[in-house]
Amino acid sequence: MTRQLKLLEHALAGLLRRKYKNLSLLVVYAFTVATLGSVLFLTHALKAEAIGSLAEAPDLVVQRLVAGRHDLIPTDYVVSIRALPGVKKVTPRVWGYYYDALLRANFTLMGFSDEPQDLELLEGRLPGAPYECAVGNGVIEVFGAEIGDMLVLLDSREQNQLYEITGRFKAASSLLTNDLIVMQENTLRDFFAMDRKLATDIAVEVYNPREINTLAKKIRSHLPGTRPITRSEILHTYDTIFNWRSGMMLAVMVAALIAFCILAWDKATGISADEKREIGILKAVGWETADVLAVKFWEGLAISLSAFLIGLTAAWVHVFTLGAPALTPILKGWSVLFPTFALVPVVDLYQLFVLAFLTIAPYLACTLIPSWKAAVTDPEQVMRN
Amino acid sequence: MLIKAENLCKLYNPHLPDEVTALDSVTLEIAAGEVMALKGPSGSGKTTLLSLLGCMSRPTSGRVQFADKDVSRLPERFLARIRRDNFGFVFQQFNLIRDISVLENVLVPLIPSEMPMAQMKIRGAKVLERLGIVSKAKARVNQLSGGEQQRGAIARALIGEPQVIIADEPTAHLDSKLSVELLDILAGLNADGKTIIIATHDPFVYQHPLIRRTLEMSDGRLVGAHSQ
Amino acid sequence: MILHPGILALLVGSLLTLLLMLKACWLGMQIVSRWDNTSSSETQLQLERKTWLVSTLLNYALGFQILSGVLYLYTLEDIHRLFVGAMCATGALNANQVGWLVLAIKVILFFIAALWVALNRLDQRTEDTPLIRPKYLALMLITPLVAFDLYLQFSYFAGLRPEIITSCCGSLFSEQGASVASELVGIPALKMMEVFFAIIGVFFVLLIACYFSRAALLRSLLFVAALLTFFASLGAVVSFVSLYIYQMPSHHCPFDMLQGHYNFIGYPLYAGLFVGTLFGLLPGLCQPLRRHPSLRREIDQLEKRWLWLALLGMLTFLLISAWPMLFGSFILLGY
Repeated sequence: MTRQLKLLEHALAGLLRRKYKNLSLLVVYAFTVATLGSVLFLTHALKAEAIGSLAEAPDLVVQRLVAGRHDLIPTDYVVSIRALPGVKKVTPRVWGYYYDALLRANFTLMGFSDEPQDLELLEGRLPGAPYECAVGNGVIEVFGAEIGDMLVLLDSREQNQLYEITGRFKAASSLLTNDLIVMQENTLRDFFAMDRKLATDIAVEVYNPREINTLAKKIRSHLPGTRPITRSEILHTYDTIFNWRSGMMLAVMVAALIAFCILAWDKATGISADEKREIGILKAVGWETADVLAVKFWEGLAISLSAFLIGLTAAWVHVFTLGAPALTPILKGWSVLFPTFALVPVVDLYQLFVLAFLTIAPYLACTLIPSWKAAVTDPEQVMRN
Repeated sequence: MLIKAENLCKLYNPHLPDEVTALDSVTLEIAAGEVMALKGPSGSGKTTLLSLLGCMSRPTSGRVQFADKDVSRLPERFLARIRRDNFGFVFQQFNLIRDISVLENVLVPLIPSEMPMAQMKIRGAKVLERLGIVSKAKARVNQLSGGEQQRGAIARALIGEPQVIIADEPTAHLDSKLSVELLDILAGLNADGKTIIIATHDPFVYQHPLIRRTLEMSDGRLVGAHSQ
Repeated sequence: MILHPGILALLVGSLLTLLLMLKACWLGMQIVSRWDNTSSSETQLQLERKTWLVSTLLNYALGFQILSGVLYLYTLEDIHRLFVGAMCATGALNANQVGWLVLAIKVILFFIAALWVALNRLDQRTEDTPLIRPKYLALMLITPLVAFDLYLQFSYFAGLRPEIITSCCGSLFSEQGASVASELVGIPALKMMEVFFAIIGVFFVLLIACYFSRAALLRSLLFVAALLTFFASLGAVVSFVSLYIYQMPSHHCPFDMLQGHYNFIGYPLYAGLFVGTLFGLLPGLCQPLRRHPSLRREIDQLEKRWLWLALLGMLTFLLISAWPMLFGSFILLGY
């Protein structure tokens, strides 16, 4: 124990003495960690955000399929669903996507009935009259509008409609509300030219979460042509998408990792004459190969851990303070409209573990053989010039 | 006998075109407390013999015994342990590690031992004091004069309290005044009972009264022995 | 499926381990074919130095193996959400047939690699290294196992179909199923407790007996007892220890306790069990090696320490599992 501590101390002192030689390695190492870390942090934060916003989503959403295509659902269905035992609340929802050709951006338009909804507003109020709307931060930014300004949207009859902005949504629930425009349900029906007897889908709340799947089955059999989607199904689709995206990015980054490993290998192999002489001296005065190997292991670990911590901090700052400017276009790319929004910092132990495993293990493996080569230096050589 | 060598041969690059016979059937015995010099021109095999006697390498054939234990077939890790516990080396170019302090250099051999750091430092200070350079303990090696470096190197050789001191051309980089000092130090160590083996081609050393036996080497063989 | 970051890390780690092992294997073959203890030639010296590389490669491989075992469970925990019906790592393991097999291989690999490292250390303490041949021949058996581990992991993750509804610990570790696990759970907790405490008691008695006696038979018995204790302990964890830790009468999952929600109590629990088993196996395993005089000396020196470590490990495990039974508010018996 004392021996290992003393060897560790020797290793650290040695690293400090050769700090300039190790600096470039440390920088590249930390950069690699920061890149990989940014991908993991960003996807994880987005996933957490998506899952968090889904927590308030209804247990079950019932859509109608016509020949496999999503279609508007008759509001009559609400009655039949409400009649099923275990159902707490049924609400028809009116919403849709809107593409603004001028701004080249997608928005989500959502109708809002008389019942109060718990969407948190940053400022202003929810629309109280026709031709009023509340919007997300992204919409405000893209239009360059303020509260009280008018929003111009092209309706289904190719007519320009003016809506007054009365409220702005809070940024904390950003992913969901960012591209959102909320207006009164009947205003939206007019906008989409949607029949009063139809809705986009029906949200169902259930008393007992264990009965969600059973209820989904029942709805399907009672109302042929409908497709009930449970919240957990959406959740796991999200999970799959985010994992896939971050994995995809990581796979690309593995190239960077390999490049880094080559550098590490090269650095470790290119042991200086001075260092080689030093190891020769150590061996001559009675150090064993195992002692030199232990010192090399501690050195590797010290470099890895410092690079890891530096890289981690950099990744944190990049993702959570700067909003991941280098990565967002690739990762969030499914929607055209994604102005910067602040991510809530979410990091769990698992992310750190994965990142450590991905970066430290290859480094240690790469430096293993060069360390050994240095460690088996012949002690006799120091006796010769 | 403390060290016994029988028929030592050492080949470098055996079975290759550039095969070199560095040592050819050398037999000798060294008693505990003895001071012995190996003299001969460079390339005569002195250094090779020192490295074999000091358990730094293994002979191609023949046997080396240290304290009645055959060490000529021992794995390297055991040789290292024997070196650390029994031998102190003073090399021709001092071989101190350049940019650490003198004290740190002196303590290097004890790092892989289980001795606590505090105890090591006490021992290091004692050794430095004995050699009269305790004031330089915190100085870096490159701030020292040649004589001080030599003393630092001797201090490192003494830190493990070895039975045997092996010195390879210890006066090669010293002027005559420092050479006198060095032999005084060695005489003091011998008075404490240390066995001393010196390889040298400096007449000042092998004619010094401290040296009671001189072996002469040429082309890897022992060619003569004198006792005083 | 493979592009999940954790899975990527696992596969990279296993691939690295395999590469280290292949290199070790290659060196091992060279060493075995040309090793000559009596020679002091340059070749022998080079081989001797290569043994250090092999030792280091194996040390790292063992380290990676331990970490990848933890990462594997952690990943399963993370991906369980992708499976409809899965509520914890067990659900993810059930998603296809190889999941459990991978886990088993990892446990086996851990023990084999750890025993190899321990025997290697023992051997390197001697001057004549009598185990050199068996050691390096064993590498040729371990390497395929590492390759198999990589292959199985790959096919497990490649074969994951998130659409499939899996059964979770609720159904696997429930009394109605037909699997070994459900049979374990089906045994009344009291019975399982008796068996477990009896076996672990025998283990402790044998440990103490070995400490004071040199009889060979005791060590062989300890070896068997260590194996039995390992399986009995795993059974106990599923059958009743988990219930006490979660304080729920029907939650039998052996993995949930590794989560922060339960203060990571599973880590010291399993670490104790693995360390205790490993060092309980060693004295028996080394018994036949005592015919080499040089090894016998070293074994005699080290054995007491192994016995202590075995005791310490198993006690840790026992204390952590018995603590909530003795002091917790949850009452299982008579429930």
